[in-house]
Amino acid sequence: MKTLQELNLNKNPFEMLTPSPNGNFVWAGMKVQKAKITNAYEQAFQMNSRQLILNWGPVGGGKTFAAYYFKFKSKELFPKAPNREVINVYVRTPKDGGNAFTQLFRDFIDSYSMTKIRESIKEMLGRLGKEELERTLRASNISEEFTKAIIKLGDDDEQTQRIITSYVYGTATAAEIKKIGLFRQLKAEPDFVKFLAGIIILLTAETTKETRLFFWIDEMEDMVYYNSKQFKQFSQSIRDLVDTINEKFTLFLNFTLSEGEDDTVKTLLGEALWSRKNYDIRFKDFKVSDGIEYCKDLIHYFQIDNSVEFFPFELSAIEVLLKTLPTALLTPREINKKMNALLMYARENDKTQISTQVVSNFESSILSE
Amino acid sequence: MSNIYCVIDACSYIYLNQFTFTLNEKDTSLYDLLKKVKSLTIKHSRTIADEIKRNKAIDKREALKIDNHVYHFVKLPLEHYDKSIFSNSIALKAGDRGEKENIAVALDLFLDRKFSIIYLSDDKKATGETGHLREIMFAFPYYQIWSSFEVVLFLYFSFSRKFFDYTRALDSIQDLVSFVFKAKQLDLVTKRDSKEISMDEFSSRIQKVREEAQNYKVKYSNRIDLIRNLIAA
Repeated sequence: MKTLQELNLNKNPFEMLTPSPNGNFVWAGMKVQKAKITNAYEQAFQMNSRQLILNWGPVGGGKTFAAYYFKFKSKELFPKAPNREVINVYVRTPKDGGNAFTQLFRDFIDSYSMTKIRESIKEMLGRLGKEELERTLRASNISEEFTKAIIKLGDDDEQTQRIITSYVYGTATAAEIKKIGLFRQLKAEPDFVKFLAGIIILLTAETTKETRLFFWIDEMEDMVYYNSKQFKQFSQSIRDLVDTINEKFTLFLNFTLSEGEDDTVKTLLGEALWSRKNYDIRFKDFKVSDGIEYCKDLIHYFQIDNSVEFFPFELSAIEVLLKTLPTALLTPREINKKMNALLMYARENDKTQISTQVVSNFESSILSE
Repeated sequence: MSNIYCVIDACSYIYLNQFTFTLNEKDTSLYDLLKKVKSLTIKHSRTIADEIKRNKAIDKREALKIDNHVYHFVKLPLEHYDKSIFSNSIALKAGDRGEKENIAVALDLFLDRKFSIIYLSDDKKATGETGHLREIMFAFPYYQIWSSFEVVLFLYFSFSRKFFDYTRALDSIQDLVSFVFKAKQLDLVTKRDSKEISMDEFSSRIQKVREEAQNYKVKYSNRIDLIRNLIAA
């Protein structure tokens, strides 16, 4: 069996079938989508106003990958401004529609980290003082009670920290919260909306540097399984979150839809969110030429010697292979699956150059299985 | 409006009773609303009544009322329909007995000169586009075939100005989509977790379920929009 090195590769370019935080984040092809998302990040710093951007397209079309890519690469992507801080938070749409926003709230806290939230608020308390933080939150219509609670997240006292953490996760008793001067639990979905909005407002209210928060909510298509009450509650809560924060905040909603036009997305997403959308980024079905560009970028990144454009693949071999995929399956995920299998076949059969003949033999071997 | 006969199966009965909204301070289901339609008579076979009563999801007291809707054959006995078009499979207690009996109910109504007949079924395996009873049903094109989704369209067109407005119609579509497809989604998750299906098969099938759910929501929402256009014109 040939090694990857014998095939001029440092690593298998097509091994990532499902994006994961430990994956190789190489952006391949999809230049328009990358440029639009990059622009959204730039715009967030040029204008204060909030953005709601809808990424939609087929399954395996690169939406989740885009979320991970920008989450884990934004420090490299936006290095020119040391005074700027990018906060990325990624969560998935809760599978269960009952109290979905409450779940989303807790997923946000876990994804960004309670410790980081606590440290940011503590640092701001020390530098700006409690009154200034109160003024900031009250100016955004965060209630007095929740303002108090959010500021307590940055409290030094160990007991207060323990109780306020329980309060956020819904496990504090009424007696416990009274001990730290609070009188109202986080209960209804609007409470969680205001509380999360307050946290985001403080995280982006930094005065020593410009901070912007980019919140990615993946798999919004799962809302189709919610009943009407859950659907309305969840979509209206997200809308209220966006309206309450209203600046220094960008929300990306990833939505899977194989076919359809704007009206279809509007029906599926609901009026509440559609009405707040700034623009959408379409992760369109690939043409074969898009697939070739995608493969080229990945191969190039992992080649040991990249003086020969596609080596160990021949361009014609990639083209033939991509044409075996039905149009609906011409997506990054399906291309990765197919190219990964082809590469494995070539290695197992001691091929060092992947030609159309190898593709043909590979296809026959699949049929004979 | 001349009298409409709606021949309902157990599956549709369950779907239409699955969620309620408040009407005149009472919890009201789509089935309750269908019963309220003055010119509509709900009928079904004895087997369907028994199936409904056996279903644990149904309130027992309510289920007993279902007996009032059992159809008594007028023109030909059930055995005649069974022998001539179902190869005695009803008597042999083979599959889809209730749906077959309901076809016989619809045919008997037609022979009794009741010409506005709806065959209401959500049992896709038996009566859906590719259902195994579909060929028999095609031989007797004397009734309309509805699912619970068509009931929502009917209620909206009939009562949009009274108690079933645009928002309620759209909400009902969402509730039906949620009920029908969430169950399919959870079934696949269970099969994946018990290793009954592979991860690849799960991914492919879950995608199809989601696409089907999206298609239903869009298709029926668009139909409600069409009705709204007509009502508003």
